[in-house]
Amino acid sequence: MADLRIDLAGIASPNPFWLASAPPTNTGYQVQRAFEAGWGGAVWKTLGDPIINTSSRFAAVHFNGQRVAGFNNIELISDRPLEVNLKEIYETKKRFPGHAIIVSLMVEPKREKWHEIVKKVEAIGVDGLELNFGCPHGMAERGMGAASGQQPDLVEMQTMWVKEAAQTPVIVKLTPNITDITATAKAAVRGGADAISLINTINSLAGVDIDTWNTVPHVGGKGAHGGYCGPAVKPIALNMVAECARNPLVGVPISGIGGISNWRDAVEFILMGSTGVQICTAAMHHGFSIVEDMIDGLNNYLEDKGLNSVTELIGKSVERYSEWGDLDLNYAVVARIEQETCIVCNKCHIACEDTSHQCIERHTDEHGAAYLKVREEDCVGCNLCSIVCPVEGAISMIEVPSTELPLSWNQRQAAIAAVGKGKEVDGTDKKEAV
Amino acid sequence: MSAYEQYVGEKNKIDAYIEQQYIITGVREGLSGDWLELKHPGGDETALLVETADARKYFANLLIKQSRKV
Repeated sequence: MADLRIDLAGIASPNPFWLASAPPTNTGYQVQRAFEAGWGGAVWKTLGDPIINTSSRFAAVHFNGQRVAGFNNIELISDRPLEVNLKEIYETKKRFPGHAIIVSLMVEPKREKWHEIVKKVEAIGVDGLELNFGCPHGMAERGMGAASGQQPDLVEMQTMWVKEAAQTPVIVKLTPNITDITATAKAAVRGGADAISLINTINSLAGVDIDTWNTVPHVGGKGAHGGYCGPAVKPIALNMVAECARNPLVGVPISGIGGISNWRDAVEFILMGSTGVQICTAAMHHGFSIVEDMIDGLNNYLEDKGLNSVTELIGKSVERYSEWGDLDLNYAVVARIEQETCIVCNKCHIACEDTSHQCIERHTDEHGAAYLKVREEDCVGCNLCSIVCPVEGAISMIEVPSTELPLSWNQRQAAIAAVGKGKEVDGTDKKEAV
Repeated sequence: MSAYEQYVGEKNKIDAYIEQQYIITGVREGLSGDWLELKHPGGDETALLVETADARKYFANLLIKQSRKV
């Protein structure tokens, strides 16, 4: 068995799988059930001044038969009194001392409000705090959540206030509803954050009912924007995690969040710089027991890779994530169709002909049977044909060896700048359009 | 004409000048492509409009090789 233990900014956990601050971590009963199932940690649903929720809170986007490809919610932070939550946190920690309990917090952007809640929560014994600067709905209208998290100066200042009072590690949870997530990540670090977590949910409207014209979800005929999460947001989250991981001015541990549904997703986030991951939608869809497969899968993966500890994976793909201008323009792949596997459904031909580079030709062999062939010299290696192909292995993207050294756009532009723009050549007879 | 054939045509013209010992003396980028300024050691100058992406990549490789020779 590989070692799955992690230490995120001083928060020890038996494995990297934490439940994110959300409906699954609303009560002691739920978190204890989660720990019994095998979750390594839990971020308690956000505490603050207790709120009042609406009825009808969640909506899902199903896509082509996949249930819950995306998930939308308009639920707010905890609606229970602070003392009730603290009592259950204490009981849960007492029963599961080896598991990580982090408490999510959100109060008005006032120094004394942060000091008050930090002291009360830490007094009952928690492993860390997570500052909710990301909730996009409801709380933001009151100047909290994403309203705080979209302003780097507010992120920095509030983090600093928390750090003045906190004894345990402080994780700042970032909103993705911002142009450049590293701006707020750096602000959190300037404020003294011990770690960051990302992403919180993305502003969303799940849909509109075309029969009733109501929003989905609606509350008595009216809707409001919610927060989007689930598998659909994973690529957005993964990019934001990577952007923070490769920025030297961030430089603190990352707790990765966003559409993580299985151990493979978790490995991707860890490779891109996350020390651990937080999960919500998958647990809401399938229940707490999904963590068993995650633990087994991660353990088997590490053993297959010959690794002793999950910590050996952290950030291993970060250096491979770069700027577009640093990519090698001389690297080339072309599509190749395996004739024995291809079912001649024509999907690749149509995709290439209509929307790409018109280089998949349809031919007829000597027996009158149709077959598809790539005109490789015109293939730009866009991958579209292999993406739309319904048969595994029918189209392969083959690397074309280059006789040239790697050449990036930045190197090309530097070479052009070095030689200069030249000078206008007099007379059109000396100019030639080749 | 396929994009590849157009590229080969542009590449051959560039190669022909390089074989005659022309060197690249300037590149002007524009909406129509890149004007490649070439000069022969004997003093003759010319300019080629390079339109295809592959040929614009190709002459950048030549340009870097040329800079390494200097």
